[in-house]
This record gives sequence, structure tokens and C-alpha cells, in this order.
Amino acid sequence: MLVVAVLSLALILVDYRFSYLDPARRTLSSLMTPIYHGVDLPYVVSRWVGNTFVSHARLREENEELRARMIVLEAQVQKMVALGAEVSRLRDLLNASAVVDESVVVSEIISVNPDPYVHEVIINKGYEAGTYVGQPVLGAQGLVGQVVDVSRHSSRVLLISDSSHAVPVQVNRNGMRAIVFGVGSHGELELVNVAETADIKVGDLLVTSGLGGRFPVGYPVGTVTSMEQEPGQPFLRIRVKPAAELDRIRHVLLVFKREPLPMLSTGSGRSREENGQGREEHRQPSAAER
Amino acid sequence: MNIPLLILSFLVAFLLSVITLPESLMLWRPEWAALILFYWVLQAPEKVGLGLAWTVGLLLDVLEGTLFGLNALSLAVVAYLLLTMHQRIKMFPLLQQSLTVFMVIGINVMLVHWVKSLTGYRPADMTFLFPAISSALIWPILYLVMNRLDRY
Repeated sequence: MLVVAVLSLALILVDYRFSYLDPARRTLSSLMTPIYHGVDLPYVVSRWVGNTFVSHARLREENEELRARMIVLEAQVQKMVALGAEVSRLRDLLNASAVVDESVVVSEIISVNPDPYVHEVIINKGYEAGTYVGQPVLGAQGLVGQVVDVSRHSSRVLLISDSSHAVPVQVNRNGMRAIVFGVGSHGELELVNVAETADIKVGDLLVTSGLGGRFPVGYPVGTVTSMEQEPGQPFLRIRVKPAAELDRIRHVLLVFKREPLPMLSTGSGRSREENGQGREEHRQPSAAER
Repeated sequence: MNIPLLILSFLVAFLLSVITLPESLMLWRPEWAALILFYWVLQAPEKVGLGLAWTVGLLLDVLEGTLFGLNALSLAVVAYLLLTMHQRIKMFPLLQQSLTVFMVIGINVMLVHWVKSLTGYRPADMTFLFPAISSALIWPILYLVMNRLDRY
């Protein structure tokens, strides 16, 4: 017993402080991935049944709906392309760095962490698909979290609502920077260390500032829902509603950073180093349209 | 001892320990792996011991994403406690066994709770004991079902 206890305690300590055990963990984790798929099986089967035995009329209806939606979205994309080009021209004029374009891979959530106090989900893409630790994860509506653990065909994603998670953000309206913390609740985040005099209002959209170097710039994180001044406290207590529906999303996007487009990087290559500081100061006009 | 059933029962326990539940039920999820270990230690104390408990614990750690060795430690403690008193527990009626399940799994979840509190956020209430209660409640059913399956 004593030997086992000491061995376990040593493992716990090593895993907590260092990363020597990651390869072992990764291998075992890959072995256990079928369990997650087993958990997901009822959903997969019910979806398959739903897809197979759906009526022809319903499919046609859905097809038309999707077509209509696609046309609307395509029209918006055209506008976005023009705006994007304009933004990069303006940024070039300002000698600011080019906007980095990101590529995404769609992934599906197959399981959630069984611990109710840890906000973590398991997705069905692993290092075979290029996933890496620290990779940003987006939902259709906004930022979801980041990858914290990778195995062969699955990875763990820590949600922004976990109490150990923080995201550097800026207020979309005026570019004011702050940090959003998770509080361990799916529908609430907290904006911390904001002084009473700061220019922030209920309803303000918060977008990622990209300052931590981990999340890309300009993705919506949440909106301010309430602000309270507690007597005796130096900072405001600001509650934020996450933009992504963290407790009911099914599909997420894994973001891969890409090199700036050649057209955009010409001429701004040197100025990027010089003006590295100024980069985050400019708010992202494109973010308002998202 | 029925080896295929042993492997199958632990696989099912793994499935049940990560299966998605509504948020209100998540606190009440029984410690399935510990319960199955409980059953097998009582059935074959001379074969099932610390080694198996520790291995199952490590796999559970990977599955739940907890610190490597945490569930291994707590399950090894469960196995050790049971091994020291399995002869008495086997004589107990089912209800008294349930009480023992509550105590032993209570110690198990408490250990996990301590280490998790040391390394991250945990609420400072007694909700961590709920799995011990639900495990104790489910023990008689689990015992009868497993016993039935074991005979084939």
C-alpha cells in the first residue's frame, strides 16, 4: 500500500509541476478515446435515424431555407471582402501591421468533463488533424475556449467560462483593454480590474484583443450585462454574458494561424517590428460587422 | 473469477463515469469504477488487489482529465481498505454493505476533493460527498445484477 501511495503521490506532483508525463498521458489518452465515442453513440445513432427517415418534403423545405440563407450570407461576405480590403489599405497607410488571416477546421464536441466544477469539453480532432495545445477554439457566435490537452483523435478544450480561464479583451466601441475571467458558470463571465471612471457601458461588446498572443484579434467574447459599484471596492463588478452558447454548442472551429497574405505584407514587413506596440491600439473596424 | 465480465464491467464503468448528464445530476454521479472495484475485491480478494485498482485509477485519470495518479491513489486506498476487511463485509446484509460503500467511497471522494482543492477551484461545501450517497444507494442493485451476470 505504502509503495503504491508514494508512487501515486509522486505522479500527482510531477504531473502538477512538470510536463514529463505528457507522452505517457497522450498514449493512454489515445487508447481511451473509444470510450468518448461510446458515450457519443446514442446521439450519433439518433441523428443517423433522423437523417435517414426524414421525409422528402421536409428535406426540400430545409434545402430551400438553406439556399435563401446562403444567398444572404454570400451578399454579406461580398461586403466584407470590400471592407477587408479597405481596412488593410488603411492599416497600410497607418504603418500598422497587416491583419492576419486565419484558417479554421470544423470539429465536433463528443463529450464533456464529468466534473461539474471543471468546464472542459472533448472534441473529435487530435494531433493527427494538426491540433496543438493552446490552440484557440471558436463557436459560430463567439470565442469558446482553448485546447489544453491533445491525443491522437481527440483533444480537451478548456471553456472560457472555467474558473481558471482568462481572456484578454477590448471593448469594441472604444478599444479599452481588460481581462475577462470565467467564474465557473456557463452563462456568466466577469470583467476584472476596471476602474469606476472607465468608459464602459451595459451592452458593450467585448472582442478578443489578441494581446496574450494566444487568441486571434477581433472575435466576440461577450456583452456587458451589469455593472455594480460596491462601496469600499476600488474596481467595478462587471458581469459579461458570453457570446457563444457554451452549454449547448455542438460544433466548434479550431483556428490555425496563417501567415499574412502576401499582398498585405508587402511594405509593412519592416514597419511591423517598429510598430508592434501600435498594433493593438487600433480597434478592428471589421469586428463591428461580425 | 470471471475475467471477461471483469473487463466488460470496468469498460461499462468507464462509459458511465464520463457519460453526459444534465447539470443537476452531475453532482450525483455515482463512482462507478470504485463500485465495480468494490464488487470484484469482495468476489476475489486473493486475485483483485492494489495493482488492478491502481491501473484502473490511472485509466480513469486519463479519461476524466484529472491529475495523473489522483484516481489511481484513491482507488488503491479503496482496494486496500476493502482487502483489510473483506471477510467481515461479505457477511454483512446488503443494507449494511451499502453503509460500508458510503464510508469507503466517501473516503475515496474526499481524497480526490482534497487534492483538487489544493490544485484548483472547489466550492467549500459538502457537495463532493453526493457521489458517495448515490453510490451507496445504487450498491444493492449493482450487487444483485453483477451477481446474476457472474453466474453465467
